Parts: sequence; C-alpha cells; structure tokens
Amino acid sequence: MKTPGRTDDVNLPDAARALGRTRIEIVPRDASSVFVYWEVANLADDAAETPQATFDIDIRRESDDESGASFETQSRLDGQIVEVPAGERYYATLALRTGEGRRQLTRSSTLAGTMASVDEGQFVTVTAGDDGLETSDPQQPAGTSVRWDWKGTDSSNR
Amino acid sequence: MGAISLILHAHLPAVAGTPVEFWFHEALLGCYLPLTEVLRRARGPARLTLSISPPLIDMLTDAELLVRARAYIAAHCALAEQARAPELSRAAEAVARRSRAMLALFDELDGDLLTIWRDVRDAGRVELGTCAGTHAILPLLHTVDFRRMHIEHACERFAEHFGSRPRFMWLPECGFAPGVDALLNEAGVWATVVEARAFGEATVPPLHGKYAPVITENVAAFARDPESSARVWSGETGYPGDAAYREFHRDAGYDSPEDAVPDFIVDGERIPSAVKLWRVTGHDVSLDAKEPWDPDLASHTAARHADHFLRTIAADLGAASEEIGRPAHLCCAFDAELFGHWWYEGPTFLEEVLARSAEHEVDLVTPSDYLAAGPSLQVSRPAISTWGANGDFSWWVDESTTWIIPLLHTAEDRWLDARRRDGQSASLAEAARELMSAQASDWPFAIRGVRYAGLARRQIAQHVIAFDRLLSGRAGS
Repeated sequence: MKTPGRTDDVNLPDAARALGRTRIEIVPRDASSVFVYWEVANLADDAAETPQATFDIDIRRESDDESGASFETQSRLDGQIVEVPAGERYYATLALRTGEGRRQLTRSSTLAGTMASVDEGQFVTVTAGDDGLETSDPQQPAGTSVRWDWKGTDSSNR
Repeated sequence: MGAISLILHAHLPAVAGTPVEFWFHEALLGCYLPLTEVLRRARGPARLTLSISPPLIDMLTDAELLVRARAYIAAHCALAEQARAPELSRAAEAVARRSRAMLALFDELDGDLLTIWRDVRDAGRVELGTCAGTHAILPLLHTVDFRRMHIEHACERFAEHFGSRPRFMWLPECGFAPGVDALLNEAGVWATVVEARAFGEATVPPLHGKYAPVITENVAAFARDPESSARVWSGETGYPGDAAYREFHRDAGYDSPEDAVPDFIVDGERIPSAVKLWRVTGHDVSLDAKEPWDPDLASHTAARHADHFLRTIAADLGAASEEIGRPAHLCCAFDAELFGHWWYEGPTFLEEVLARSAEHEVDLVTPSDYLAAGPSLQVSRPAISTWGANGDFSWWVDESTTWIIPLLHTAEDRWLDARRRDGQSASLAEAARELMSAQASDWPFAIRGVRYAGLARRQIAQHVIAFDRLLSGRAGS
C-alpha cells in the first residue's frame, strides 16, 4: 500500500498525512477482510525511537479476544488490507516489540458490524406524526417467515 | 395485491468547472428534463419518490453552469439536425425532435428544475427526499460528528429549496451501519433504503424478508429488491440490454471531423455529443456494426417491458402477500440517471409504469405513503452493508484507494481538535465543507474505474489542500 496521502500526480501537504499521535484504526471492507491503518508518533520510549523498532499489529475478535490476524511492521505510518475470518466484530491493537516482549501502545474502536437493537424481533404499530415516527403496541411476531433468497441475483450497481 | 415504492436517486459528483462537466449537461438533457416531463404529465394515484443529492442541488442552482448546459443542449440539437445518411435519418429526426422539446422545456422553466419539482411535489405526484451530504459513505467516515454533519448539511440544503426538512433520505451507496439509523432519526428523517444483504444478515432477520420495511431507532428501513433491480438495471440480462434500445456507447459526434464539432472538444479532448443513432442490435455486435435505431420499435419495446415489469411484480406481490398474511411491499430503487441517460427509453418505461400500475393492481406508493397508513413493522437492525458488489465495501476500499481513508480520517481528527481548541468560526465551517467534498464516494469510485482516476485524485487533493490552508489560517495563500 502506498503511504497514506501519496498519489501518483499530486503533492499533498505533509501535515495532511500524519496526526502526530499514536493510533490504529480499522475500517470495514468485505466478508473476509478489513483495512487497518496506524501511526506511531511522539513516543517517550527509547525502544520505540530506534530505527529498527518493530511494531505488532493484531486484529482481535471482540467475542473472545482471540487474534483473527496479525503481522509485524517497522513502518510508522501505513495501512493494509488484512484477511480476517468472517462473521465477527473486530478491533485492532498496536504494540511495540521490545527486548522484554510486547507492550501495547493503543487499540482501535470496535468495527461496527451487526448489533442488536432494543426489543428486536417484536412488531410495533408505526404512526407518522409531525415529530417523526412513533411506535406503540409491541407484539411478538406472528405468522410464518417468508422464503426469501436474499443473496439471489447480484443486482449491485458497482 | 400489494404495493411498490419506485425510488429514484438523482446524484452527480460536483463536476462544474472540471473537464467532465459534460456529465451534468448529458444528465440534464437525457434524464432530468425528461423526468420532469414525466412528472408533469403524470395523472392518477401512482407516485414516485425522487431523492436529489446536495451536490446535484448545487449544480442545478449554479446559474453559470446552467448557461453552459443550455449551450451544450443547443449544440447537441444542431448536430442531431445535420444531414445524415438515409438509413440514419429517422433516428436523427427523432433524437432532434425530443432534444428540441427538452430545450424548449428548459427555456420554459428558465432552467429552474427545483421549483417545478417542488410544484409537482405539492401537487401530490412525487415525494422528494435527499441524500446524505456530499455522497460520502457514512460507515467509512471516521467520526460520528462528520456523519452527523453530512446528514444535517443535506437536511438544510433540502429545506432551503423545498420548504421543509426531508422525511426520506437516501444513504450514499446504501451505506448503512448500526448507528446511522439513530443519526437519521435525530435529523427528523423517518425512512431510508438499505441493500437486501442488510436484512439477510440482520441479527434478527426480518420475518417478512424484503416484503416489508423494518423499524430501527424510529426509522423505517426499506430493503432494495434485488430481482426487480436486476431486471431494470442490468445491461446484459435486464431490459436496457434489449436489441431495440438505443446504443449508449456509439456517439455520432465521434464520427465527425473535429472542426465540425467544436462544441464537443474540451481541452483538446473530444466529449460525447449525446447524439446516438444506433441500437443495441446484439451483445456480440461490435459498435461499428450496430444497426440504425428505430424510435417506434424502441417505444413499443419500452411499453412491453413496462407491462412485463408490472406483471412480474404483481405475481411476486400476490404470492408473497398470501405467504406472509398481509399486503406485501417491494422497494425498487435505482440511480435516476439510468432513466434517460444510460437507458434512453427509460423515461418512456417510467411513464408507462406510472400509467398502467393500477390495471395490474400494483399500488405505487412512497415511503411516507406507506408509513402514513400506520403499518405494523418488525423491530430489526439491518446489518452493515452497501449496494456495491456483494453488498460490502470492497469497491471503495481497494488497494488503489485505501490511501484515501487515513488521509481523510486524519483530517476529521484535526478539524475536531481545532474546534475543541478554538471554537466554531467561518473558516472552520469552510474547512469542514472542503473536507466533506473530499469525502464523496465518487472519487474512489472513479479511481477504481481508471479512466477518470487522475481527475478524482486531483479533486481529493485540491479539497484537502484547501482544508489544510483554512485550518492553518492561511486561506488564500
């Protein structure tokens, strides 16, 4: 992956590329991969400041804190697409590898996936009013579910 | 029998003043003016839903751009009226006749489509909505603050021109993630569209599948029907690929010497004239072997396809209604530009669908119509998804485009730091607008498409550079 901000034919200001903070973020991509990017900056740590400092990137499952994918890098400002097992919510950690082991520097927020909403599943009566939609009369589902192949035809526009 | 919502999402990237400004001129001539004519002529209870993105609103209210657009349309008409080989004369006459009518409509409206769309909305023929912000994919933004800003910007622009805040909001690329629903609700929006996958992978898959919307954070989410979408959208298996329809990719302007088409040369490069005189003929037929377009055959084919569309929909709704024990509903959502720009006969198809839906016992309702009836909806939070390939984000998060993400995320953080430190200001607000313009999904889409990749990269860079100058207090330098 190219260094964030570098393009083939434009020059972006240096300040656009870095935040000046140690961070790691994870971005949704598809059923089996995510995009993760990181920055290492302003660490008051002799080990971190050596040019050979090595950093560990770990994509972890929220459900059991197990690692879905991991790799090491010496790059302090970069990102890459990482394959992870599907169907889970993930977060990423950035750690410094030292002579004594690993020291976590930061972690990302959890990638938004599928989150249950309150009272999910029940039916409510919807009323459209001046202040928006209102719901009332919650009921448990009745009747049979419809047979529907939602994967059906690929009608994607992209 | 049941009902459908036919939802058109009208959007173009902000291309005024760029080498691809002709995208706007083409869309105005091919889609927005004919769509206006369809809406004005519509009678009866069938109603469409039209979402207009803020970048398109900006261009439709850009007086100088509209002057240039009119000049393009006039030049197009002149080219269409030029003498042709006998086998092309019928096609050329039909194109010229329709385009002259669109030019006359433009002049009648003084180029002001938004006012006429407001009028047809007030006459009850259409529900108008808008699209979040500058067409950024909300789940790919870094912060809730900027997701909220895009939604609020859209609501404000809409209210400016249509007198009230929208109840329906299109999500760019149907990009949904948990939390977006709460932001829509916060803004007063009560309906949106998600991709079918969003229902299929919900934690509690909706009992009625795609045949009823669900309610999430007091927002009704309608799932786009993949089957009817493919029938209308696909150039290979759908209606637009029919041999009778006008071929999009062969443009008569390219057959003329350059000195004969000066209006279609921009920065030394040819641009399309939109004078297209050949029909699809067959998928295996090369462009230079296409047969002349027959306007009468095409018109009859559009009517036949509208009938087929309604019959198929009616059968689907009938079977589903029986299965789920209540009237079924389908959401048929498309890019508006399909109708008239990509598919020349699309407006004819739309007009036939509107006129004949009642005889097929298919009600055409808007999302607000559906909700006004006080339906019983299931509480279900759709899954994270888009309407891209496989319902995911891979089209925009690709090896060629991942550099954009940390660049723009960093800018969000810098902007928020500046607001916390210095408070709100005019330059900070302008910086936010520059960043939001850089966040449009159109740019990574164009980079993936390769042909306009350089332009897209430059657009991102220009907005980021302007953002940086504003944030650094060096505006104008």
